[in-house]
This record gives sequence, structure tokens and C-alpha cells, in this order.
Amino acid sequence: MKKRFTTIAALGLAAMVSLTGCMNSTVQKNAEESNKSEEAGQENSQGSSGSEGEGTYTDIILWDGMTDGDGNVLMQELADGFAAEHGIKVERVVMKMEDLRTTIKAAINSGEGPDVFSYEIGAGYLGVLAKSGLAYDLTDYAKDNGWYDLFMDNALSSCTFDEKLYGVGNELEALGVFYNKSTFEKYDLKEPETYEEFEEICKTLKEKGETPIMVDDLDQWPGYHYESLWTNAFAGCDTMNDILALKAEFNQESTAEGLDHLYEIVTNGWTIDSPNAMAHDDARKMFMSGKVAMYPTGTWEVSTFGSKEEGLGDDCGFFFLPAPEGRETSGVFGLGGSFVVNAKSDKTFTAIKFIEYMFNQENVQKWYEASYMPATTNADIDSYEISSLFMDWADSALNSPKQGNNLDVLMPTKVNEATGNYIQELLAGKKTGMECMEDKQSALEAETADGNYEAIEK
Amino acid sequence: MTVKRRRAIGKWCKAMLFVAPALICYIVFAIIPIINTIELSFYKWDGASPIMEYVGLANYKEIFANPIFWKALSHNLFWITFTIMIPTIFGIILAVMLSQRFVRFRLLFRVVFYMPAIVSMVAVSVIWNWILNPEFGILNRILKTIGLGVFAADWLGNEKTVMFALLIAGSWVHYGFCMVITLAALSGVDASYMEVAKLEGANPVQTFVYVTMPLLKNTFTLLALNSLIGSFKVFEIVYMMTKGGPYNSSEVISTYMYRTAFTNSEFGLGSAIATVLSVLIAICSAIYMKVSEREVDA
Repeated sequence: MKKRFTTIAALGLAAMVSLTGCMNSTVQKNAEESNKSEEAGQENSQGSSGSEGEGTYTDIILWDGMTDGDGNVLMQELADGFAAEHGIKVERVVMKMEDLRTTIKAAINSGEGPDVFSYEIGAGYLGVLAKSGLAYDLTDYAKDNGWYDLFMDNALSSCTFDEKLYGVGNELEALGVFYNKSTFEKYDLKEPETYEEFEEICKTLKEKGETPIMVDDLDQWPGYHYESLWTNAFAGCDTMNDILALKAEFNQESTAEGLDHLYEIVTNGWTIDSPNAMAHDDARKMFMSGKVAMYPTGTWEVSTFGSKEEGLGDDCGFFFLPAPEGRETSGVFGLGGSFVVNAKSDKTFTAIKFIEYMFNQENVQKWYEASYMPATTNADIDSYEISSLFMDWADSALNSPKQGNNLDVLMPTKVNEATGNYIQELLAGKKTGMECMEDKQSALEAETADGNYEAIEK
Repeated sequence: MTVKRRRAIGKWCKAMLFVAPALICYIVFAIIPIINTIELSFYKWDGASPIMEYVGLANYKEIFANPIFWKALSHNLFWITFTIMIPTIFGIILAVMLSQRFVRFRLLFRVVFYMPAIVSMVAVSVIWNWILNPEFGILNRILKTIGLGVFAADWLGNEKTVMFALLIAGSWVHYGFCMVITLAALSGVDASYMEVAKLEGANPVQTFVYVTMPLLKNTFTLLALNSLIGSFKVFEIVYMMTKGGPYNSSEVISTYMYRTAFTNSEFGLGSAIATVLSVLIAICSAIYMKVSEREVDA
């Protein structure tokens, strides 16, 4: 009996070991420790340069999510440049944003975190760090050093919680439709100005035996962007702003209409047969190999799609998804992320200076030439050497009368989770646009009630 | 203190000296995290805030009231049922075949069949994502080429096929291990039993069913138990291939736990899910051990 009990106990223990190991004990311990050091952290946040002293540059650690191509090269160049300028070391750790998000809290709490790091904006992401005292309060420094002139309004407002600044938006991104210029020229097609024209293009391409547009949603997050694009096109930027400000609700005719039109792309056979089974990376490859004429996604793909080696080079064009006839087209914009200083770091002076360095006049040019649009006001675009695709999207951005919002970066994670599911259901024909919007509204109301979302006034 | 007692203590100290390194590691990396996880499951905590709110059993109530939990649990049970059977049976068949003397290039076949077991789950997921891709995946192409296009499907995008598709990918990794363990067990079977069976007039199938299989019972138990516990832990392949989608159709408890804790920053709730899952594994393991012990006694 004793042996049997021992066996069972051992089995149970082994099972728990295998399953609970990931819930590291340090997490809780650190929470308790951080409780003790909260005062110290707050004290730190009040000051302007941390404990290293004004004007003292020290080695720092940077975590960033620029894992690919030109972005990766750019960040390395910036880190090396800053290190060389001040005779210090900038230790750069590159990881996918998802990995960074899952490790940063424990890392900061354990005192092993970076001094400066990139992070997602929005109440559900940076807002959590700000409320927990893990992000350094940059308000005073920003006011004293002209950051409110240097950075675009939304680069700072998106990182402001309870009227305090906890980071700066790094680069401006937009959602739109990339297209293959050769395919368009082959069938004498032009960039659409209304949604009806867009539908005509899809129809023509389908008749010619092409796959008009890629819709992939195996990874779920592309669905967030489809929703932002189609709701913004049909409901308009002002309505979406009212929803974000909690003055209106998602479940209204115009937003639902947008999603119903997204589903029509599937039912009309304008996309692949199984959007829910197509992974994003595979979808990108199909677009870049010319198998699909259009691909609605974000401008973070500009450097890849516009690359002559890997992508379509000069054959790739970009336009914002147009609104239906009689309604105003507005681009869907958002920030790629933000740079944040660790509130528990003792090297905040160097970390802040590094952020400033990344966006000085000279380095802003590097961002543009790597096909990124930093969210600053000090750029002189005409003097830069930038790709035709980048110029195309920059033109679209500059000519956009209004700026719509990329919803997922502003929504709490639970609302995004609901979105991930119902967009897949929409694409599978299981839910209507209105049902999806009702789901989103319920999720948003629950999160607002829990204090995880606050009205965003634009 | 008597000499006898002193010796006993000395002996115990010596034993502890050898056990200590492993024991310390086990306590630090296993026991303490387990206790902390259980404790954390009674709190509401976002993983960052210095304040942890004690909520008692609220996290557990929330789990049991959530239909996604039950859906995920049913997927785990489905996974268990099939991943115990498919790789184990396939592994045994391969092992028996490769243990036959008339099979040529046995070593080559053993290596080839075992290879999927050493491939990382991430690589396996990428490979199977390509195989199952609806546009250019080889599976649909083969089906269409041989005139079975009617069976071509969007394997990972359809709620009805996604679990089967994942199951095939998961089994592909595991059968090599089952084969190797069975091969090792077969090599340990006393040949005299086979000779006696042959003398008694048993054909190869009868020999396998009535002689070999009972002798391999402990091996089968090991394989099944290993699959059982492994099946509850299934995570990488599901997360990498579908992230639990489409619309939670392939959600398993570990992906649900991961998403809750690390994506939604609900560490208390995530810990409660981990605790529930651990209890479930412990119960399953205990029942299984009891049943197998009974069979051995009988």
C-alpha cells in the first residue's frame, strides 16, 4: 500500500513538474520584492537621470524586436554608433516581439532586464508596465528636452498613461494593400479610388485566371488587420475614433458591413480557398513569387516586398483600401511599437540618451533608408535615397486626408483574442459581420469594466 | 549514542552526500515552483504589478465556467486516445517487422524510421505546415494526382479536420521512439519461448499474439504511460501549427494555459489551469498504474 502510494505520489509530482515548471517561482517572489522596491522605483521615476549621474555614460543592454533584414541591420548600426560615440558597450539582444512580451516582466522584476527595450504600445501592453512601475516615467525629461516637438503627437500620446509619458513610438506604420504592378499592367488595371473599383479589379483578375487577393489567417493576427482595414474603409475614420473614445459602439451597421464585404472576398472566390489554413509566411511567399496579385498587410513589409533580391522590387505598389463611393478614404495607421526605459535600471541616463540618439537628424535618415518611417518631425525626405515602394507608401500617407487607426495595438489583449477567433469564424462563414462586432463590443465592455481599457481621444 | 546508531547516521550522511546535488536541484527547480504555482493560483496577478490580489477559488471557478476550458479538455482527451494508439501500434508493427532476419538493410530502416523522433518540434511543425498547406501542400497534390481530389481539404483551417491533421503530425514524431523501445524489448525476449511455441505448432501470428505480446506487456505499459503523460503536455505542435485555432477548434489545455498567462497576462488564472492540468495527469496516471498493477497480479 505504502509502495503504491509512493508510486502515485511520485507520478503526480512528476506530472506537476512537467506542467508547472514554466510558472517560475521567481515571478511571485519578484512581485513581492518589487513591492518592497516600489518606493525606490517611484523615486527613480521622479528623477531625470537615475543613479548613474548626469552626463555619465555607461554600458547598457538593449532588447529589441527587429529580427529581420534591414530593420535588424539598422538597429545594430544605431547600437554600434551610440557605443562608439560614447566609448561604451551597447549589448543588443534581439528577439521576436512575442518572446520579448512574455519575458520582459519577469526579467525587469528579477533585476536582469534590459536598460532600454522595444515594446508594444496600448493599454494592454505598455499600459500594464506603466501601471506596474516597470516603465520609467519620461515626462519631465521629454518636456525639458523638446521631445514634444521632436516626436509626432501620436508617438507620445500612445505611450502616455495617466498623463505621464512612459515611452516613445518608434516608427509609423500603415495598413494597406500591396499589389503586383506587372499583373496590374498586364490587365490594364489602375490603383482603385473607391471600393467598387477595388471589387472590379478583383473581378477582372478572377476572370483572367489570377488569384486576385491573399487573405491568410492561420496565425490569427492577420485577422486583426483585415478587421481594421475593412471597418475603417466602411465606417470611416471618424466613426472608428468615436468607438475608441467610447462614444459609439462597434456593433453598428457600417462596421458590420465592412466585415461582410471582407467575407464576400472569400465567397466570390477572389482569394485562396482556405484563408484559415494559410500561414502568414507562406502567404508572403506566394505574393512575392507573383502567384497572388494583391496582399493587404502592413508597411513593415515594405523593405521585404520592395527588395529586388527577395521581393518584387519596383514591381510592388501600395494603396490604402478605398472607401465605397461617396465615403472618405482614410489610411489605417499605427505605431510599430515604442522604446521604453526600464524603471528599475540604474542606467536610465544612458538609456534615455540612446533613445534620443536613435532619432537625431542624422539617424532619422538611416531609418528612412532602411524603409522605416520614424515617428519624428525632423526628417528631410527629399534628400534621402529611398525605394520606390517606400516612396509610394509615403506618398499615400502624406496625401491621406485623415488617419484611421490600427485597432489591435490599441485594444486590450482579451479583445484581440476575441477578434482572432471571430475573424476566423467570419472567414469560415460561421458568423456574420454584425455577430463579430457584437462579440468585439462585449469583449471591450468587459475589459473597460475591468479597468483594462480607457477611452482614447483623438 | 551507540556505535550501531552512529554507524547508521554516518551511512545516512554518506548517502545524503550523493543524493544532495540532485535533491537540491529538484527542490529548487521543481518542488518550489510547484508550490509557488499552486499558491499563485489563488491570486489575481498580471505578472508585472507589485500587487497581487488574493481571490481564493475564483480562478478555479472561472476556469470551470469557461467553455473553452472544456473544449480544450475534450481535445486533450481526443489527443490522448489517439496518440496512445497510433504511434504505439505503428511502432510495434515496425519493430516486429524490423526484428525479422529476412528483412535486408534493417539498420538503415531503423535509422530512417527513428529520425523524426530527433527532429525538433518546431521543425516538425514547419514541415507539416507545408505538407498540409491548402495551396501548395504535397498531401492535397498527391490526393488530386491519384484521383482522390475529393478528399483534399484545408486541413488546418477546418474545425472538423484540424485535430486529425495535428494528430498525424504528432504521431509522426513519436512512433520512432515506440519502435526503438519495442525493438530493445524484443531483443531481450528469450528465444527458447519461441522455439517451444514453434515445436507446439504455433504459427508466427499465434507466436506473436500468445507468446511475444504477453512478454512485452511491461514495455507496452511503459509506452502507453509515456504517451498518456506526453499527450496531456502537448503544446509545441499545436501552438506552432494552429495556435489553437481555427476558433479554438484545436485548443488544448496547455495552449489555453500559455495564452492565459503569457498573452493575456493573467498569471493567477494561468497557474490555476496548470494546477488543474497537473491534478488531471496525476489522476490518470494513478488509475492507469492501478489497472496495470491489477493485470500483473492477475
